[in-house]
Amino acid sequence: MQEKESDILLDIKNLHTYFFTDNGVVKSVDGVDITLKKGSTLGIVGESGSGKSVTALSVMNLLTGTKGKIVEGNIHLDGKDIVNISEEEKRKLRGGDIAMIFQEPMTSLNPVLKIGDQISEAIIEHFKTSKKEALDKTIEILKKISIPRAEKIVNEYPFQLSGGMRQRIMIAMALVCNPKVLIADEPTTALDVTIQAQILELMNELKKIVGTSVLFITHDLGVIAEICDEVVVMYCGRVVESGDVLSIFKKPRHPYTEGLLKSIPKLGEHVEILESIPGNVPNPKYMPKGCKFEPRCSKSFDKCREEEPPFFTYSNGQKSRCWLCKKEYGGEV
Amino acid sequence: MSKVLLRTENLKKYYPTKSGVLGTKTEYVKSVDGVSFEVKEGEVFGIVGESGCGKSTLGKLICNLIDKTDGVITIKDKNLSKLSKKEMRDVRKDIQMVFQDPYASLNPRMSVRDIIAEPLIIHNLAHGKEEIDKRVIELLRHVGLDGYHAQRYPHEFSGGQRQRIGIARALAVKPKLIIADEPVSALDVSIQSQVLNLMNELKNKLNLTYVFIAHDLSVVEHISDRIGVMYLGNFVEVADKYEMYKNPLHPYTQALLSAIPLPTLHDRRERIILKGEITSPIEPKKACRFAGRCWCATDECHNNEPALKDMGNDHFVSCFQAFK
Repeated sequence: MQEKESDILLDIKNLHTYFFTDNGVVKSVDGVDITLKKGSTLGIVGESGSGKSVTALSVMNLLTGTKGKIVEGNIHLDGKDIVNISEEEKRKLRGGDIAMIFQEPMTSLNPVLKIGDQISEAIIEHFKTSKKEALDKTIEILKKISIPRAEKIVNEYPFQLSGGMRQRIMIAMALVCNPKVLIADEPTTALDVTIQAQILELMNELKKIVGTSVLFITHDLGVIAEICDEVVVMYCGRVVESGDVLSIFKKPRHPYTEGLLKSIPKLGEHVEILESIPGNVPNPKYMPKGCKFEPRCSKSFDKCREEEPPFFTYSNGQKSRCWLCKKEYGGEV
Repeated sequence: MSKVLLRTENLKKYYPTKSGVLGTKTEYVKSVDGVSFEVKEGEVFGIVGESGCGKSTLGKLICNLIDKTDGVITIKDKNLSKLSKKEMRDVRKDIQMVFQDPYASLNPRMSVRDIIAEPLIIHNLAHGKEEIDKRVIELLRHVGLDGYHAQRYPHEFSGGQRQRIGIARALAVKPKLIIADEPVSALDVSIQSQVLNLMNELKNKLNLTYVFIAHDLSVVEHISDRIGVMYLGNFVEVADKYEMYKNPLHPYTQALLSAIPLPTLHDRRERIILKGEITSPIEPKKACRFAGRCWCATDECHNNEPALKDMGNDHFVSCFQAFK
């Protein structure tokens, strides 16, 4: 499938983000390509340490002040480079064209500021409106995402709200400037299932109303199946598989994706022993030379140890980084 | 019929909170409010519920880690509140706990050997360095680790391995009952299944009984024989896992089942989206606990409290609508 240039909203190419720590270089993101189409929701799934959050932070340009740095690669938003721009331009972008929802609604809201002030801040910053206008707009947005008692809530503090409510406030805050891209980093992980269902439904509705494209980061394949159009599976700082959600759930092409899908207990399916992926994620300092998943893979062979596989692209657009996809080794590509 | 290992009757835990202008008014948070249930030997009893429903408090009560407000806990027909300190110590040996956070529940300054040896020494189960070392290595092998891990410290292990150490520590005193409070929720999916499989294997090998507490219904369903769904301090439904999945009677269980995102190919379902959030456990008024969020609540539900009732097939539910 060849996408038209104009369909692509966010284009991450060959992104390398390294952290230069006192104990050496940690290659958190090591050659990631992700394209987000207009109006679609793309899920990034992976275990802790796979580099999914660092990818998001790189897009948001939020690495300043950390030991992390984008050492190679490009990120384009609507055809415009957003890596090599001035700090001033980056400020305009953050919260403007790209907004982010964080995992912990408890810690990402300022506890000593009223809800109304926190949301208005972005409006005042980006649209240079008066305080009064900003507050009116805030209430309008809160109503749009069906928050009850919007007029009262703007005068309350985060501690007065429940976790689900706080996450809704975060969503409102992200949406005030009509962003083109919304990055949601594990937005429902800290919430209870019934509240998670509410938030997922809200995000689905918003996508229809506002038309924002969403980059949805999660470790929960269930959530991916529920709201994403496309999926990117990350492992050890790399994308190992990508494609549309149906193809990947129907026929995962990478042994890691396959293992992940099989290792989740499924409701109503009663098995004595769960299939599991043996071993642990390798230490970033001692990465295997070939395929990064090889030490845990049950299907690995000599080639995997010698050389890291490139991407093999299937006719349905699904891509997988596994030698077994190659015709030479019994695959189809 | 296997024997009943653990039984609770009308178990309660209230926490007082002060309110009013000068803190003059005392209200109670009814964390666990009249729980009665039984766990048979060799059974895995799963407890699910959302945060604040009292599931962890219930686990701690059973382990006698906190004092109960009222009610009876019996283990192997021994009433825990009628035991002397010494007798209690013996019973403690039979109940062990595995905690949620493998990063916080292991002392970072103790080597793995010392962590696992501690219960052995306290309960006088092994004497002399040699015997203790031998037993520690045996326990480590039980949980899929190796003898050489004994000299290391917790920070040298990954989350999954730490949880294995926590399990080894619990197994050290040869318990009959293990209370596992969210043992896999801090772990990554691929590691989660390893630990679940290990727990299953140990249960069969060592003839253990589990009370498995979690918020994730699919995990609980996988490992348990029977499941109790908790809401605001008490069970709203208790049933065999097959029965619970096929025929959930309580609206809350139905909503919970429908809210879980399934990692499978399916038409995106019409879900039951619950309105609102869990209400405050402070002095709930006399009504069905779930009535405020329930879509089929009637006047009866708002004015009376349903008790758990056997609907046949060992399927207990507390819902006026289900009784009909």
